[in-house]
Amino acid sequence: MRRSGMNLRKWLMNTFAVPVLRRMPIDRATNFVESIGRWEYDRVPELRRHIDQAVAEAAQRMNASWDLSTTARNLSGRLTRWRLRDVLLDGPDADRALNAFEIVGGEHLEQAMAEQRGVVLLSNHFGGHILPAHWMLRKNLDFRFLTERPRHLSKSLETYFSSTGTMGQQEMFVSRKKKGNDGVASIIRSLRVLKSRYIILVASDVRWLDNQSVTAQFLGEHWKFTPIWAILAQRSGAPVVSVYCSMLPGGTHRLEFAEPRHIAPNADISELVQQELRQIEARVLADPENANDYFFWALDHSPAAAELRVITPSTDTSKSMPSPHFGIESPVLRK
Amino acid sequence: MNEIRREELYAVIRQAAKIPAHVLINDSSRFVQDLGVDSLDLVGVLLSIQDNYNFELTDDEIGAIASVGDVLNLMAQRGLKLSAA
Repeated sequence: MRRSGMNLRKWLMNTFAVPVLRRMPIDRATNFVESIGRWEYDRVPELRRHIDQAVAEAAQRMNASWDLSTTARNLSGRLTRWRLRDVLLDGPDADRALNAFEIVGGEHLEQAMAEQRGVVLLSNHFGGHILPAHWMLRKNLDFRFLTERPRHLSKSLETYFSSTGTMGQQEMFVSRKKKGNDGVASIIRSLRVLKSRYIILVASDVRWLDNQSVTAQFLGEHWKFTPIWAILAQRSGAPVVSVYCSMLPGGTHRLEFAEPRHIAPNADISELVQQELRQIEARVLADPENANDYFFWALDHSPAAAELRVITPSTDTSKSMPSPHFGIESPVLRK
Repeated sequence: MNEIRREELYAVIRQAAKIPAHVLINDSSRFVQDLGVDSLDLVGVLLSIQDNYNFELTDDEIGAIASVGDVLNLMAQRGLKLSAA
C-alpha cells in the first residue's frame, strides 16, 4: 500500500477511532481493530493483492500448507492491530492492561533476574513486538529497549522512553545513520545498563548493516542481521531469555518466556543469530497470522532493503531456489 | 593527579585486542588501519582501559576515537597524566 494511504489511515485511526476504542474493554477494542483490517482486505483490491502475493510467496518458500485466502485475510486484521502497537493498552489502570496478557513461563524471567547480572530479553517482530515493553512497564520492571526509536506508542510508554542520562532510554535508541564508532558506543552503553541489573529488551530479527552484522537465512532469503544481543550476552555473562508475544484471536496477547540460557565466550555469533531466527521461522510456519511484516520483506526491492539483502546462489529468486532450511527441493537442482 | 605509564597503556591495548608483539603501538597508531582492531576488539579495548584507569567515556567521546592518541587525550582531560618515563 502506498505511503500516503497508510498515513491517511493512521491519521484517521489515531484522531477518531483510538479515543473511542480506549473507552472499550481491551479485548473488544482489539477485535474491532482486527475487523477493520479484514474489512479493508475485503474492499481494497490493491491491499488484497499485496497481502495475497506476500502470503502465497512465503507459503511457497516455506513449503507451508496454509489456507492462503484465510491466512491473508486474517493477517490483514492482525496487521492493523500490530500497527496500533500498545496504544489500546494505555490508561491509568495497570490491571486493565495486565489482564490483556496471558503469561507463560514468567518464572523463567524471574529466574534470570535473580542472577542479578541484568537480563538480555530477546524479542522479535513475530506477534506484538512492542507489547513485552508495555507489560514490563506495567510490572514496574527496570528495563531499557535497545532499538531504533519506535513511533506511535502509548503515552505511558512514550513517557517511560523519555528518560535521559547515563541509564536513560533516550541514549539507548540507535540509528541507522552511522557515524564513527556508534556501534561500539552502543555496546559499551548497553553493557553498563546490564551491569546495573536492568533488563535489556532487544530483537533478534533486526536487519542491520554495520561492521558487526552477520549474514543469516530467514524465510528463504539471506539478510544482514545485527548480532548485538549475542555480543552483549557473551561479553556480560547476563542470561538470555527469549520472549514471544502472540496476538490471540480473542483480543488478548500471550507472552511466552523461554528458559534462561548463557552464551559461551567462544560461541559462534553467526550461528547464534541463525539459531534464533530458526526458532522464529518455526513460529511463523505454525502461526502465519502473527507473522506481520515478515512476509513483505521479500517484496521489498527498495535501495534500503537491497543493502540488507545478501544474494547468494540459494537466495537468487530469479532461479526460484527456495530455502534449503525448509527442505524444499530447488527446481534448478531438479533439472 | 594520577599518573599513567604510556607503556602500561599500550600493554592494556595489546592484551585486550590481542595485537601481535611485532605490531608497533604508539600514540599515532590508528586502531583500525594500523593495529587491525575491529569494532568488537575496540569494545574490549575501551572497556579494559576504563576498568584499568577507573573512568568512563561518553558516547560522543567513543564515537570520535580513532587512534591511541585520542584515548590519551581523553584520559588527560580527566586528570590522568602521562608519566615522563
